[in-house]
Amino acid sequence: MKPSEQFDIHSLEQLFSIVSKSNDFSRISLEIGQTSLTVSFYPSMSDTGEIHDHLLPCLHKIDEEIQRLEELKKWLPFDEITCETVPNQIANKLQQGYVVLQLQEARNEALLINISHETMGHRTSNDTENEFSVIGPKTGFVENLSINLHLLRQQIAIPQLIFEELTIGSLSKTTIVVAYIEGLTNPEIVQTMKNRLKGVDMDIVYDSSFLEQVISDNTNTPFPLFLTTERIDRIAYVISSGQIALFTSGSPYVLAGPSTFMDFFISPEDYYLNWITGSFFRVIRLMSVFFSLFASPIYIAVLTFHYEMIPSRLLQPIMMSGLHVPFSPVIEVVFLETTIELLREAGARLPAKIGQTLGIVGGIVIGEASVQASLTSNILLIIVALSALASFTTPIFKMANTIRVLRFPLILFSALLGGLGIAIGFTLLLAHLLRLKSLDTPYMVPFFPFRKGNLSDSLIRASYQFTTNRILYLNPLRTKRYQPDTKKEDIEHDD
Amino acid sequence: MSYQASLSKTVSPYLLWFLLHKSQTGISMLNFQHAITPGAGHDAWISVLVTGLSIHVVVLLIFYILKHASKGDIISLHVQLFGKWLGSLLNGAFLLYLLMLICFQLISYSQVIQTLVFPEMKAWRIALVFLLMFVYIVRGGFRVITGITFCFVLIPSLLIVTLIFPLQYAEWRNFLPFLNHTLPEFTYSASRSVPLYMGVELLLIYFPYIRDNAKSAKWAHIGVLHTYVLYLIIACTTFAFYNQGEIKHEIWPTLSLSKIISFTFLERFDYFYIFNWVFAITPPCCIVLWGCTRILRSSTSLSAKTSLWIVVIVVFIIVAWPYNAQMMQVVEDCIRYAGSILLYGYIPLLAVCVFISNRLQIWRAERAS
Amino acid sequence: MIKVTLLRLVIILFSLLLLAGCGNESIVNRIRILSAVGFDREGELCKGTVAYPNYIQRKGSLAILKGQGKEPKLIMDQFERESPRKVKYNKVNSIVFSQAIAREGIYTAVSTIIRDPDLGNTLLLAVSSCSAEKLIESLDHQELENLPFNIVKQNMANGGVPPSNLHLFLHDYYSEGKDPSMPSLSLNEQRQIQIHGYALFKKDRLRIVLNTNEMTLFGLLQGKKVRGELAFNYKEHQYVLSLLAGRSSSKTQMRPAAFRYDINVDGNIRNLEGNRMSMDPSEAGALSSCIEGQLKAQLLALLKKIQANDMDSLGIGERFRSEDRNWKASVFYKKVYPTLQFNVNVNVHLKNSGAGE
Repeated sequence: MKPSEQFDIHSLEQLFSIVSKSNDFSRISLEIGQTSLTVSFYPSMSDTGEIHDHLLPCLHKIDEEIQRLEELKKWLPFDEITCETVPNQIANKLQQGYVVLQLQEARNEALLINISHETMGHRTSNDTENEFSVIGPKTGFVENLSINLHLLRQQIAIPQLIFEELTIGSLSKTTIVVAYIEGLTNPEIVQTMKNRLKGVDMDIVYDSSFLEQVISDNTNTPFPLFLTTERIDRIAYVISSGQIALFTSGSPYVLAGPSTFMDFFISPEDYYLNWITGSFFRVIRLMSVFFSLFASPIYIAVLTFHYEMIPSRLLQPIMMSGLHVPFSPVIEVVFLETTIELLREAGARLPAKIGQTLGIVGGIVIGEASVQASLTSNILLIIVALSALASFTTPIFKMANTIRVLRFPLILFSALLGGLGIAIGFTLLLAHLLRLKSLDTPYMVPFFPFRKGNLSDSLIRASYQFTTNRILYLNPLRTKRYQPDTKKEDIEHDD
Repeated sequence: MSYQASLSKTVSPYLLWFLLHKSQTGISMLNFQHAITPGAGHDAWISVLVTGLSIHVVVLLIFYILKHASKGDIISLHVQLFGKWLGSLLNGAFLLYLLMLICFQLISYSQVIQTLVFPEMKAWRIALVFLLMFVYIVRGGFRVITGITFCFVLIPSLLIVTLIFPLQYAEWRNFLPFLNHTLPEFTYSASRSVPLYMGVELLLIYFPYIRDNAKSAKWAHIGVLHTYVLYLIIACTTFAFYNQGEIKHEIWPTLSLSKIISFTFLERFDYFYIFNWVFAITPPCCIVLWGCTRILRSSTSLSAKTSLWIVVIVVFIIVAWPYNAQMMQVVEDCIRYAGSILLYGYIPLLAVCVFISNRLQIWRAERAS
Repeated sequence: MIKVTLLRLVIILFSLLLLAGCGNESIVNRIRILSAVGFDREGELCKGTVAYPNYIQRKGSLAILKGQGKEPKLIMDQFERESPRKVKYNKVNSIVFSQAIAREGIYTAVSTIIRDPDLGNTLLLAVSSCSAEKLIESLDHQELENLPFNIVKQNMANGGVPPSNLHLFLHDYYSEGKDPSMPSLSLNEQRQIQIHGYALFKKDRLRIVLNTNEMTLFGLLQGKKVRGELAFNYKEHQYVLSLLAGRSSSKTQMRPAAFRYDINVDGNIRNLEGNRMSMDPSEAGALSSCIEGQLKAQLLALLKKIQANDMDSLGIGERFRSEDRNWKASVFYKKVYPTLQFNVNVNVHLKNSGAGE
């Protein structure tokens, strides 16, 4: 396939003739001794206060002859000053808010001063909004890349933490940072990731999630193949266990890969609680996945085809609640599931305060009214509401969405073939999961291929004494995370 | 050192356990008690055990044969031993046998579904759904098939726990007097329990896809052991739960004994057993389908995808045919004879051929030197 | 690549839509779910009475349907013709035969039942002392709770009814050395269903009905679960022994053929005049030996009664089969069983006779 056409700048004349059409571009000419100096910048991108308070006064103070741009450097009180001749580079820096200085004599050369106003327009709060946890740090990543890198380096304070920069996007020129630990992360994985990224050709990288779809191994899947998170502790954990993190400028979400299916059901809080409670909550979370996927299909299958399975004592409430419902269970379920999805979607789109009210009012009013009008049975209402609730326990939003979407094909299967359909749907789902790979790593490890070393931290979160291994299937260069047997000599053991 | 496929396509040797075990345990598990009791009656479980033990010998022979195959599987061995023409013919016969295996599984299961759950569902609909599912799995390659096999050994194993319910009704005196039958009766039961162990011959095809396959014999034997231990558990539960007169009247004893299971939240558990057999038949069918594709690919110039679809269409046509009980009996007998001949006739014969050809080569080498 | 995947998806969806037309649906709130069936004989025809929970008019209390036909299946067909909803018998949990049918043999009914995969394994088979029609009719307007199945189930768990269900019936029926048995039901004056005894069959034919006392003894001999109340006399007073737990073991003897029961029973005595055991501990021994004597006599009488009727409801033949390598059912029941010697040893352990004095 042909790559998309690039917006290239061939000469500085061309650059300035283009940018001067734009009204937010500003150009000042100064006389310094014999020569004249032009200062070009975007007031919208640069710190104009800095320019007027420091740059221009400094330039006015110059009292010797300037022949070359290099000589200017010593007059200017800025730390990032470079000399550049490549037009494309100059254009890029100008767009980022650098100030471009040119001498009349040397038109093809430019001095670039970093006076960009990086934090302008960014939010100041960096609370984790979507991945909340009760215990643990509340700060999350923000839209600003350098703040994000700063936040991560605070957590992992070794020089082996490498940030490699790439630029993607023919229009946006977004900076992408690949983060890993040299001497720990398997270099093959890093290379695969970099190769994938080099192949990317996009115009604007809106968000890291968008990038994820482009670099993922299989695009025809509802499952997210890379972990997307805004939590710092999660990314620190991921990098420390031998995975790679991918920062995207302008996105508070950081990608991590290669990920496995289980990664999406792990919450950092599991590790902050002791292993018994942590494991309990994780098991609850995994069970809720199954419940959310299979509750309504089983309801349909049992009520439509296999009513013998209902115990006699349960038959009474089921019959009484669904007695006057004119629809078959399938229609009932689809109607209710769609309603829940509607409420969720409306709640997500509306402003926060209205959304909440609408959710409650809509949920109660619609639910109550549809039972009153005998459009649905109230047992089904309980099941559907519970399975919607269960799907929200998944810590990663993308996976939660996947689970909600997957319910519909399963409903279809069970409506057509009853229990047989559920069994077949489950098999297909499993086969699909087994086919998936994330950065060439199987998605279903440690279950298949079976890896005993990582089983202690999968379905349950075992005590920290047993989770000493890094993620072994990634072949990290150092496998042991820590030595668990710290000597607690003050503890007296009763014999 | 025996031949092995490229590393990225192979699976770990311990998975041979699951592959071998699961390719044996399919649809026959539902009704073997009914088939074996006319012979040795309540002692028939001994026949099941003895037949299982004999499979260890078959596995040994298979390993011996494959060690000498140039590409590690029976397809290449046939050509290597008997020349291109006869070799391809034998490969064709093996393909036909595999087709019979998968068709038998699907026909039997659709009979179960039609009799017990959906009396009005046509066989071709069941066949279509299953075959499309198999195609999706087989297209994923051998590793995905192995993954499915692995999972579907573990998941249905959970159901063994529910055998506690029928065991509450167990009448252990049903097994007494011990060894009260004659040798011909035991032989009859043993011959009827051969279909239980058919599937072990699939090792002849997927052997190159096992990593370190020359050293993996241990896992193959564990797989066989697992198979007959499972059969013994089921057979003993059935014989303790039913007496001999009753088993004669139960066509699918494994399913009917699951009817006694009931929970307060679930009154009839037998549906779980019936639908659980989707998980039981999927792996063997997928391995067989994959094997058929392998044979077609290596004997003809067809691509993997076309050969898969060809096999699937043939299977569909055979399975969609409406069978009655009489025809089912014929199909069952055919399968049993074919399997017995293959396991106890052809594989030893092949081993002898390999042995002779080896001797010939050594003799020739000696003469040349 | 994308095109191919789409094509595959389309194929799968299309075939699923094809499958959509299968008519196996039986949506739970659009069917009539039968719960209890009773069979009577009227000349050539079989008369069926069924009870089903009526949810529409009666909020789940039972309603009655009646039909006639040559075969149980044909009666079903008749129900179907008079019902606006599909009639399903998969959840039937009680099947009651009238004594007339039971005496003629229930083989045809049983062979229909065993081959029907729709029926469960734990359902109750019972004989009715009155006509089955009356018995089922008494359920009209009653709750689902009052089905014979639940009455018998409760008594099997806590009372003196020996375990019995379809599976056990078939197990005994097809056994070479055992004859089947099932509870016998009747209506009392309040038109309430009650268990009035235990019906013993010779193969598929009803021979005798044990009374409730004999039923408890029968359960004691079976040795699986021993519960119930037994009456006996001591010093010209009536007492009741409540069985708490018991263990019965049995032993065969080949030549001459004999069968021995060893029965150990733990029990309480409540309606003693004054708490004799606490007043005079030495009397406990006398009391229990008195009970042992009476119990032994009753048990022997029961065994003889079963033997005299040429039945083997306790599976003694099965015991001999499992121990005798050359056992043949025909020889055993013709030559050995009629003259079989029974020995019964009873040990009674009285736990207490109440808390007060």
